Amino acid sequence: MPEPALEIHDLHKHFGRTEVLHSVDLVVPVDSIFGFLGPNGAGKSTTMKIVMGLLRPSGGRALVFGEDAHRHGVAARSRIGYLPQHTTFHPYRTCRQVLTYVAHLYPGHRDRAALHDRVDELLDAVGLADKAGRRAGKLSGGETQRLGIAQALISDPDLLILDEPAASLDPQGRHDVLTLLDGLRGRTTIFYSTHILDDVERVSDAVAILAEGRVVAQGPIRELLATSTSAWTVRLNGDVEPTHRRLVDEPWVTGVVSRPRGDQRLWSVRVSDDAAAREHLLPLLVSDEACDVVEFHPSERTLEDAYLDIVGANHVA
Amino acid sequence: MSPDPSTVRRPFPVLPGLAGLLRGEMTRWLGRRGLIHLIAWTVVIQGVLYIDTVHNSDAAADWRGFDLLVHLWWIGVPLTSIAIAQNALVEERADDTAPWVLSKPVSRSAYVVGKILGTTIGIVAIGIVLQAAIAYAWLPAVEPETGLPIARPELGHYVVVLGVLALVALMFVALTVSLTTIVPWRGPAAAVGLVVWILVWTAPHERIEQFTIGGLLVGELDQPRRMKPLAEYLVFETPLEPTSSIVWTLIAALAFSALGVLVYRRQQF
Repeated sequence: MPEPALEIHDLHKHFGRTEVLHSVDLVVPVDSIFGFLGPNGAGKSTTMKIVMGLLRPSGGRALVFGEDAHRHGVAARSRIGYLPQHTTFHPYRTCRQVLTYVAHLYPGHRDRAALHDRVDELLDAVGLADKAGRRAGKLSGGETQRLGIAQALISDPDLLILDEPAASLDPQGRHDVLTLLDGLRGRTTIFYSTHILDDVERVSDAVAILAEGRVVAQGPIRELLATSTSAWTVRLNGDVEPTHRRLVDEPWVTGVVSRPRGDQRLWSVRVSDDAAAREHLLPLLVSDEACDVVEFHPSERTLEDAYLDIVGANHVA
Repeated sequence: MSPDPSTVRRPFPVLPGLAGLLRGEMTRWLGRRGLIHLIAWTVVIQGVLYIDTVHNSDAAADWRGFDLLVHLWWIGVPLTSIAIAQNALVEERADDTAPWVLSKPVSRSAYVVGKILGTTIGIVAIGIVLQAAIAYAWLPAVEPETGLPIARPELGHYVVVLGVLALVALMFVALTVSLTTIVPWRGPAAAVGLVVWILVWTAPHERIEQFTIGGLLVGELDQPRRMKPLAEYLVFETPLEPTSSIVWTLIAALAFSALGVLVYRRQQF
């Protein structure tokens, strides 16, 4: 079995008395596209910063292709391309100069002509070919993010760590980035964090979910969906509050996500016992005369359902 | 990813990433920053020399101009070093580019050393070597109003003087950069640098002279044009003493650099 691209063992991090990471364990297989999910403040960026040597771990360790990311940080980082969450570059450098600058920070780099070609290729890949001479300080947020992805790729890294790569991109930009990542499949390992679960489902092989500083689930997406609780879609008309209160008291209901749909409410009811739901859910809904059931059927399980189940998101009436 | 035949992997050097960091610093000096410094230094240094030598009918010595050059450097080199160095680390910390650079395979030590050397090299190249070359070329070539031509100093001595001034630049840059690793604000670091400069200048007491570069460079405030050993070494070719002040300045520069590295290595981003 090949050595994992990234292994994190019993990782702890505290800032003063605040413990941000509690014994995080994670394995990112080589050549996988690995999504790192979790709510804001869960510790995703902190984990990545420890891997990149920007923060010291309070305990545990991170290994990049077997190399300790803290003790042998330079060797570990020589195999990583990294996009930070808040991307900023020297404002006085042009896009081309940013990429050339980064290339020269790596221990082995191309000769001048090959580097020039590689810079052109990457600028083209991220849609900045016509802005090669523009200063980084003059780029828009989306353009800066695209340049960030290009600089992460300039060294042909074995491991690509991207902290929110699709943030601040418009739909076209997001699509381009996902296509770019998909095109790297099998050529490099990608470990990236995001809030956009549709993107994760589209390109990732595996995911880990971090909640309150702990990895609460990890594995291939298929397995995650199979082990997650099932969900039912319900659309109601009328006063839904009494029904909602009765529903969340049922022991087999793990959560209800409610969204407005015109004058109606659209619920995603997640259940831990599918048989119980089949037997009791619809009778419970129709028993309340204050509201009418307009739509009722099992939901197609998505990563979002699994994610919400796992991080323990509960009823939002 | 598949290996690129044009890519050559080399073993990690002592300060990994230093070459790339210095290259980045140099490209900045070759841009707008370098142009501004080139214009400012040239206008001030060569302009003052021109006024003081060509149109000064009182100055009757054939070495005049070169002693003044040493005094101008003593003012310009430390002040410029402090001004640029106080921003070297703070600027990248403030705009969040420091963690981006440090996420590359560069060591913290290389990062701090790169800032110190990059700043020093730029000041030495534009403020000292280039100005020295310009003065060396034109001062002896003009015809002063007094009619007494200006003699070129001996080249070897001229180079030694430039070396001493480069050391002054290194010491003040290292001092200021190291201070910004401890107190990450521009003002306090610059203030301490200025206080050190004034102390060295205004207290050329016999004991202090042994340990600071001030003993080689400056005169008392009430006698600003008094010849001091470095200027005398340049124009009269007298021995350069006390040499201990050069050694101690070098030690101070290395100690400040080491302090900056040690403090920065412990910081988190």
